[in-house]
Amino acid sequence: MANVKVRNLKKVFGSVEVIPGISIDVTDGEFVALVGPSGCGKSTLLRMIAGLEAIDAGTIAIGERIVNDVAPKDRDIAMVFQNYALYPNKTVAANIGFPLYMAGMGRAERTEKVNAVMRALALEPLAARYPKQLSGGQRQRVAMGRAIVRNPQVFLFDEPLSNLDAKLRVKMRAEIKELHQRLKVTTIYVTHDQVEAMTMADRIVVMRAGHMEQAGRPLDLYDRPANRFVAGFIGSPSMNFVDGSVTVTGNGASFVSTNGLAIPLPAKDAERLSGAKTLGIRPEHIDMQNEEAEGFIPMSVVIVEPTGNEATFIVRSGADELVVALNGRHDHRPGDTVWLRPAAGKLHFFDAKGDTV
Amino acid sequence: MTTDRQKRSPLQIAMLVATLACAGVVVFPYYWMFVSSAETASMFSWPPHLLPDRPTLTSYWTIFKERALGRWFVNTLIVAGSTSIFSTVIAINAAYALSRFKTRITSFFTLIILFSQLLPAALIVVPLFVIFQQLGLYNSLAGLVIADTAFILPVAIWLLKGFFDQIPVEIEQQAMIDGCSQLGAFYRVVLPLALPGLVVVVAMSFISGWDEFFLARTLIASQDKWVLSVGLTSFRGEYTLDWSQMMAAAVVFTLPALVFFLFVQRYLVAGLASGAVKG
Ligand SMILES: Nc1ncnc2c1ncn2[C@@H]1O[C@H](COP(=O)(O)OP(=O)(O)OP(=O)(O)O)[C@@H](O)[C@H]1O
Ligand SMILES: [Mg+2]
Repeated sequence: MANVKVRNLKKVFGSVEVIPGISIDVTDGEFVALVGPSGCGKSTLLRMIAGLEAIDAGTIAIGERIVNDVAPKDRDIAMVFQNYALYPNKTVAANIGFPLYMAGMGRAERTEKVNAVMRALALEPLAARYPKQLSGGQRQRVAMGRAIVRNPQVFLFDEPLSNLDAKLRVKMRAEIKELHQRLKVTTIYVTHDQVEAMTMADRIVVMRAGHMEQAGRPLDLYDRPANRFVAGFIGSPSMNFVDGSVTVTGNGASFVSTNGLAIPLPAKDAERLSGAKTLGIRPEHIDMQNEEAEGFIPMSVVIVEPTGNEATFIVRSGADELVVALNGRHDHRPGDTVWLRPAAGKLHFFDAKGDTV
Repeated sequence: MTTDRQKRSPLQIAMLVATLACAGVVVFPYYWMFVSSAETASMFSWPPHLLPDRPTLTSYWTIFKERALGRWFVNTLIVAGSTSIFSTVIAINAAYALSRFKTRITSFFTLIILFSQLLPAALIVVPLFVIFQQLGLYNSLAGLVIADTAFILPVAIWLLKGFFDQIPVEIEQQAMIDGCSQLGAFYRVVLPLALPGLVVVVAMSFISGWDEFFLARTLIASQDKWVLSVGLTSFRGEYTLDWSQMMAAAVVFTLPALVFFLFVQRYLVAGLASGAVKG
């Protein structure tokens, strides 16, 4: 096992700087998720670590060794592609055994290892099948098996679950996480699904346009996003943003939106937040009730989306709209007037540049 | 079986008849060729002999004994075989490069290859003749192989490129991570997946080398270096025109290609069909 050190890595396609210079440290045994919107360079970064993409500047080290000029096969890594890239003309067993075969391992030992992996992944009944005879989830597991069989220093995953249906995705998510807890192999996992990142990773690296926006533990990113982009990216449903500014009135302070919605603030914070141009509040951090009360703002329900154990509501006041997520069951209906209050201490503020205040 | 038959609609029966009729039109000349080669009577006798009157193989005996048919057969085998090997090997490498390394230059090159296909052989054959004479390739089988290979290569490259384009590049990259070099990934993983395409190219280039006439006629002078297609024409226009002998030679000419075709046909159909999906 090994750590991975990426230093000032740069990638240019034609005249486009896809990655202007990124540095990431992954410690030994860590599970790091790379997240970011489509086209931000996640796959490119991963492929550079794998050795499939030329490096324009900077260094990549796996363990103590700089691998810039090391061929993919000599980097001691395993990768799982989004489309699984199984060898169509090889059986499940042969697919899993291929890395061992290439490593020159004898037949007996190879069979033993392949069988052990197939047993662990419940693939034994499928050993003699060809990839086209497998379901999506089974293919995914074969790709996983081929990755773990050789016991590599680093696992690289590029959106391995995005071709699966929602239910299977949740199941495989747990399987991969369990696998990591068992094997403790350094893992870099690319996804654009922040839920996957939150649930699986020890640490999340949020990328945008080839830059690292923030890196940290999932809950730290959730609690203390460094900027508006991260705040909006992490968490589901995403954070509500209200543009406006802090106004001090006689008996306290409030954040008044450009459309006139006033959200009361503790007076002591007014000074610190004077530069805030955007207020952020997560849907799950809003209290909502039917009766008027001190410090609550009246809004009207527009849309109700029940899911059983929780429900999301879109509420409106003038031109301001908020998403509210509540646990349990509620009888709010479209057109009802409801009273809202942001949970204490759960407000986020961002300045004109989008940085957290 | 009987229930099957009862289920056939009149339309299906009509189609079946039409298909058989078409097949008959295609097959009959070959049948006629066999029949005529196996009898000494004229093929223009009336009523026509749909079965040989007095079957005999003397024509075959004669063409091998008195004419250099055996020699020509071997020459043709050499030319077609070498053309097939060379064009396949070259096309594999060229097509792979054009499929995987996409730059402005390679796309341009891909187009040029297609355009070269538009030039009629008749236009090229005279300059080719002059060049070959100066290079000492005139009147040599090696020269003919080079010319044949050059003529079939564009098609072969385009065909194979279509096959390579269909193979996801991730499979190759996976192979590189799994322990192959770039070249190893190609030979171990990509090439086996392109096997149907390879068979098509091998067959196509073999057959085009086998029955090519124009270049062979122009670039080969001496009789002992003739190939069958040229030799075949020599039965006509000499002192006599022996239809039986000519048909026997035609059989010798057609049979190997036919056998080869039947042999690879299974792959050929699969290959052409899978090429049609995308390319
Ligand atoms: N071979 C290439 N040539 C030119 N541009 C490329 C190439 N590969 C990727 N790009 C560009 O680089 C940028 C980053 O691509 P990349 O595949 O890394 O994005 P990503 O973050 O993985 O996105 P997604 O979530 O959609 O997979 C994109 O703008 C893409 O168009
Ligand atoms: Mg990607």
